[in-house]
Amino acid sequence: MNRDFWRLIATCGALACTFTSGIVSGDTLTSDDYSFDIPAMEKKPLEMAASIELWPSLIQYNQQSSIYALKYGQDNVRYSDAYNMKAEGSARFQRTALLATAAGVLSSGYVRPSASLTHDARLYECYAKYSPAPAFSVMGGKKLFKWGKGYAFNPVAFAGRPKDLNDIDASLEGYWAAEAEFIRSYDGSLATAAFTGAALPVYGQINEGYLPDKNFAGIMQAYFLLLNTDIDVCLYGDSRSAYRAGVDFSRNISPEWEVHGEYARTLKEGAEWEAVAGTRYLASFNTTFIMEYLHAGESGQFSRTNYLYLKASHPDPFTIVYLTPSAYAIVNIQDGSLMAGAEATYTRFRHMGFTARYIILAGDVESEYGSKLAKHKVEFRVKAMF
Amino acid sequence: MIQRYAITIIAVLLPAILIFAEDPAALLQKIDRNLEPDSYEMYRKLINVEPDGKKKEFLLYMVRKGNDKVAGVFLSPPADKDRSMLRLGDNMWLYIPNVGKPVRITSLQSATGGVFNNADILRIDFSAEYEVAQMLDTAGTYLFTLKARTRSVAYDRLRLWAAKKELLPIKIECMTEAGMLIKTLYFKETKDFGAGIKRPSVIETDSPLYKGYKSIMVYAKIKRKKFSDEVFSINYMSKIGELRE
Repeated sequence: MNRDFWRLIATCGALACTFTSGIVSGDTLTSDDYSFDIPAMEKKPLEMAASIELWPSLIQYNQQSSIYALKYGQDNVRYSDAYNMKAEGSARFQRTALLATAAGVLSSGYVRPSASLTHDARLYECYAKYSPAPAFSVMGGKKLFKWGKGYAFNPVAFAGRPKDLNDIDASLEGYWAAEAEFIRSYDGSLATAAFTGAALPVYGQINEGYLPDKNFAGIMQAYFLLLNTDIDVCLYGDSRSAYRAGVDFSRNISPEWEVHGEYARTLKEGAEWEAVAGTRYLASFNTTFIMEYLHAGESGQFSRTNYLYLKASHPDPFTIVYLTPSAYAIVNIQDGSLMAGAEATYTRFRHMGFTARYIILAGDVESEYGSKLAKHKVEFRVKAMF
Repeated sequence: MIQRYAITIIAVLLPAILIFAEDPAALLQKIDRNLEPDSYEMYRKLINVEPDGKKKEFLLYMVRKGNDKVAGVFLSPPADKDRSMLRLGDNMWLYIPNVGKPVRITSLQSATGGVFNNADILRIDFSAEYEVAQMLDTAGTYLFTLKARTRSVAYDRLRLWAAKKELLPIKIECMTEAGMLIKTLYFKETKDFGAGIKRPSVIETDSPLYKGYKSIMVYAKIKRKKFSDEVFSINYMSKIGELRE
């Protein structure tokens, strides 16, 4: 453990130093004038952005798990270290009412001791959108539909992707679709009504896996800001006559206290349902708490059971501005197993971001999280943005 | 005899005093209009200054309509680019491109870290959020004591010093209900932005809660502009940057 651990720390340090030199030092400004950088304010028709992220990680295996037995048999392999890299890029071109945008990722990882090297290239989004007025737009291309109010899980995200619970804000791949959106604002209790409808075809490699081949789905979302409450009504139907309906809401009970919920079910006999009931509270000592109760169906990253998701984050501890430590856990209420993490992010620098994370998976060897291959994981992420 | 003169003088002056005495609420509304037009677009630079003098800057494009609709999008730094914020009355949301959907936020949180919080960035008129509890008319300045109209306002009380001549704020102290000072805003460098908009172009902030830190908001390119109401909806948050010309 010690040798591998210190090798990982040394590698992290070396990577971080190499990666950050020049970028971090160039960030500090000493001028005291209040002038604006005029070119920064001028809009360019073509805008591009990119980021490179490196994250070495060390995993301690759960040698009692059946996955370990399958993978290593009688071998005594306790640890695995991985060296991952991800380069993300995006471009956006706008001319009057027409917008074209694309975003994608190239990723690579090297894992020891298996010495496996993996590569992946993925297009997150790529679409053209025409907005003749703020109230109306049509879109064609690949886009992610992130519907729902839950942090950990979104039963109403009928065209969404499962979130990585250890990196909830990570970019996800969209689906190829044609979409139309209409927004209307009002004075009174109903402040906003918006309608989004989209069609998703599945043909060959297009939206492969979303439905069986040569099918299509239609999704619709109606959003209302009614009595200071966000309300969504979501519908799904496909060419196999499968239908789903869902509703979600989010509301501030007080400035510090938000509540939200989601419910979705299939429209057939013996319907399966999924739900989220959650709350977020900002305490007077500036810690934000999130708690969610999840009832998950068979689909997605969860088993058909109930979960509890908890998260606490505290920005700027001890007046260290830009540092945000947080801790989170997802607990399978049925079998008592859990995955918990502690992380710290530091965003002081203009072009750099740092994340250190420790994850533990615990539970009975037959339980959901206790049966996973990994038991402990440590990772250190360095991200440069341009 | 003297008593009769005094009564006569008071009888003559009283109507004039009543006519010309300034209504504190109306004065506060004038200060609001002098600070910002009813509907506008502008650029803002937020600078967080650390105790050692090092800085981190954020550039925002902001739009506003009427007294309850404000929205803004971050143009830099790269980590925050395309994040947008929306305020619709007491409701506030933050849109993060990766997250892909708006999430509700509170006025006391800070999207940028440092002394400025969301309420400072998405501020609406003082007269919309506060009522005048007291106004002291001193030489050269008015000192308003303002009390929040609802609990959803970030600061329960404000003490606002305004220049009598220009009717623009000079300094504001933000306090809790118990009278604890949370932060002080200093309005500086009055600048003519054209089209009758003349206001302080720099607001400096310090806070006893962030000893040694300072945050600065610099205003540029304030322009009267009309927007449709639909711009101020959560469905439009990912597109606010498209309003820039």
